[in-house]
Amino acid sequence: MTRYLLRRLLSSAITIAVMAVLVFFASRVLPGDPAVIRAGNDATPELIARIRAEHGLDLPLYEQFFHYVGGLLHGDLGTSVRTGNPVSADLLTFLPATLELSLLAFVVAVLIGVTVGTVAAARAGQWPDAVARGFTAVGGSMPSFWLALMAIFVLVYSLGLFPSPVGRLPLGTSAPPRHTGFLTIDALIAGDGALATSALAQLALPALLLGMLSSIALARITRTAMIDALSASHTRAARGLNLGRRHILLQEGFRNALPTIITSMGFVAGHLIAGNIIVEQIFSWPGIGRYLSTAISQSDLDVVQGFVIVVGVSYVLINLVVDLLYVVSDPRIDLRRAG
Amino acid sequence: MRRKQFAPLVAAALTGLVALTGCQGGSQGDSGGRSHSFIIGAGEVDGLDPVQTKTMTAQMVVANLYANLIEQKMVPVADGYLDGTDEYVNGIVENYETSADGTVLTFTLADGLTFADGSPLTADDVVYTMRRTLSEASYVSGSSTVFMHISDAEKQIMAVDPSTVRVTLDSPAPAVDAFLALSTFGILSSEKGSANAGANGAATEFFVKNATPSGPFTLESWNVGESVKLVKNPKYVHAGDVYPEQLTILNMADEDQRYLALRNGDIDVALDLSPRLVKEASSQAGLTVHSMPSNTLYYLGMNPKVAPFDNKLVRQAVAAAVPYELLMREVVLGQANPAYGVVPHNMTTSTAPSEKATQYETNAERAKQLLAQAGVRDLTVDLSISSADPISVDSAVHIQSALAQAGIKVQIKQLADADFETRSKAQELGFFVANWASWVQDPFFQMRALLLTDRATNRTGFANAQFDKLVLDGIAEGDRATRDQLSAEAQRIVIDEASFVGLFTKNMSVVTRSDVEGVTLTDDLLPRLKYLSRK
Repeated sequence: MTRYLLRRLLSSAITIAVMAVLVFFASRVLPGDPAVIRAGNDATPELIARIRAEHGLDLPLYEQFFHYVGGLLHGDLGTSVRTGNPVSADLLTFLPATLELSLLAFVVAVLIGVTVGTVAAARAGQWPDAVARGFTAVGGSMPSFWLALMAIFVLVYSLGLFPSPVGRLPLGTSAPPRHTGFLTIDALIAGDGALATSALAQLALPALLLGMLSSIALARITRTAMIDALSASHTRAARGLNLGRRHILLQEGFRNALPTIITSMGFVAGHLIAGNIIVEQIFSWPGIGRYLSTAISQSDLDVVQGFVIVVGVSYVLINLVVDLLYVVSDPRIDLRRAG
Repeated sequence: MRRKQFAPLVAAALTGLVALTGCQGGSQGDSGGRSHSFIIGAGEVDGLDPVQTKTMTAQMVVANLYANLIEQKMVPVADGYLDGTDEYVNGIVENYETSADGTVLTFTLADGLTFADGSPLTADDVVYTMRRTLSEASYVSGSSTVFMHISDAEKQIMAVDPSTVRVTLDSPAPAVDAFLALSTFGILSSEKGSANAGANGAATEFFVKNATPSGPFTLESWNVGESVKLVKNPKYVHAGDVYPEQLTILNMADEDQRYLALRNGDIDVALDLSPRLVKEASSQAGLTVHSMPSNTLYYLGMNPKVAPFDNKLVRQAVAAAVPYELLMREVVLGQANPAYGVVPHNMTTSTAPSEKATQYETNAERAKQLLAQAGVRDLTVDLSISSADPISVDSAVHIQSALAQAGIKVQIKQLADADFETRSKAQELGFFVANWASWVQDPFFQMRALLLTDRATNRTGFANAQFDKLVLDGIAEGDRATRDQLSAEAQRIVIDEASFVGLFTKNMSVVTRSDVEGVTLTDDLLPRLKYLSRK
């Protein structure tokens, strides 16, 4: 197990290194000169040159690359041309908001996606299956920005089921002292249950929406994997042995479909960290998605690179966890051959 | 038995979330309980340094945190808002004198001035601020130095005594008052600045993240990316005239969400809504729309260095084919006025015969004749626009259609905003739609920014030595009558050359709950929030 883990860690490190190189050169393809944009409308050639020098943009590309790699090795993701802050500091400011939202959305996505997929497979060809397929077809065809706006209009402003989408806390509420950056947890640490409830309430609608959108792919994959498992020869044998509906569904179906489901859960988790830009914009959620959106519009190269690195590392770590979960979920996997 | 427990468990978890939030439901009503506090839906605050911030929301926050020597005089107008005049009233000064030759300005500060933290505000703070704004640490030093006629701030701005500041100008500067009233000249604490001088000696890092308020409000909190909370500064020299006790400025990036929140009474003021939402708001009970004529000028640029726009007749043909009235009606839904030349009708010295006159008349036949004179047939051109600006995008579609009637085929090129900014400022685009709003209502400021040869914001590539001379002479000229004459001549050149074709001036729209009043229209388009009150 240890050797397997070391091999996976090594391959993860190589993946991250390749990604870091690619993202450096890819971000140079972004249109626009960050120094011109930062200098603004009263720019002089001298001011633009000074900004370029301050951010190392006047150096030859290979020198910029070495500075970038040297910085990465020291955990330095560069400096935002727009905010003037270290990118790592900005990301640390905004990342907890994204993670808190993503975690709750992930729970929602797994609950909905796996449940819908399992029920649809168990009742394949019957009305629950038709409903599930309708859910995935309709949900998958709706643009997320439209769905988010409609959810706000109907669920917040028409029915009053959720609080106004004005950020992580209701208006007039002060944030608890920062420990984790997760407001629900920080509020609990501060002993303020009401504040934690308020923070959770603010989280609920964007998390439900994101979770529901993410659950669609999970539901489809779960259904397909379950149907495959339920029609396999071992399941037919179990049916012949009259092992009972529950055993067939969970032991023969779900357990054999689990590696596939875990893989798609990994994709969903990665997508939730990287793909919140629209929901964060519409719900005034101060996460890294919104930070990236502004950075791209300003051609803020270090921020774009930093974001991709952070998200990429998250993906790699999630994949690592997924691989380990394979081993746990499926004893047939031979560690000596895996990886 | 246990099998049946699974589905209810999932359902319970989901309904629990909804139930939890249901008891926290939206306010669903008016802004009751906020008689002296206001919530404003706006954009992002990118910093607090008056000479570094870039976003309009940050500039608005700064304009309300810091006091100026003088302020633009505001008067109520029939449309229900406060309009900035071309007069200036005392800010933190009790007396302001100009020497007979117009070159020496003497400011006497009011007695007992302090910053919000109680530390005294003296002439040293004024000198520190002015020198800093005119220094390399400032992103606005270039135009400020030129228009205030201060070539050496260290020598020309002096503290005579703790309550007196003397500014010696190189020559009389007609725009100096307008500059002194800008947020970039809001008075900072020299003590805090000196104590936190930082790498560039100008305390940039300190002032980007911290405020030393001297104005109507003080900073209670700034949750980066989320909100800024301001509270009334009881130590402000005119604190008695400040109505709001508290302001919350929310970063609501999505305009639809700002509008919905306003409709629901969650916020009191929504800034920067599109013409579509402003129009919708105008028919909503409980909301008031202030659509205020501004100098935000949309224009068509034709680069005379890029074929076929190197031919003046082609430029004039395009100018004759543009559907000006249609753009105002269909793109900005009537929330605009005609643009006559580079100097809008509401800016001093504009040569517009009336506020309804357009620079060129739409006449497709005339456009065809001009093209024939130019010897051009089957013309195909690229029209570049920033994809981030829906008004430019919509305008381009209508221009494309109108030019087709004149025999010009237009291909619309949508560029990423950063790409558009960079390439247009490098004068690489031959044909484009852009916009501009001057902070200072001075015709020479406007013309210098937009058309002076090789200015950073001259996107058209326009270069005309006679025009440049007129503008530079106008900047240096102290006599108003002579300035009027220079400005008129320069405007005529621009109209004749047709490199820069004004499309319309878009109104500044602010939508509020109906019980809110005190919306302002200042020259710099930054709302002054001390005037906000409830009916």
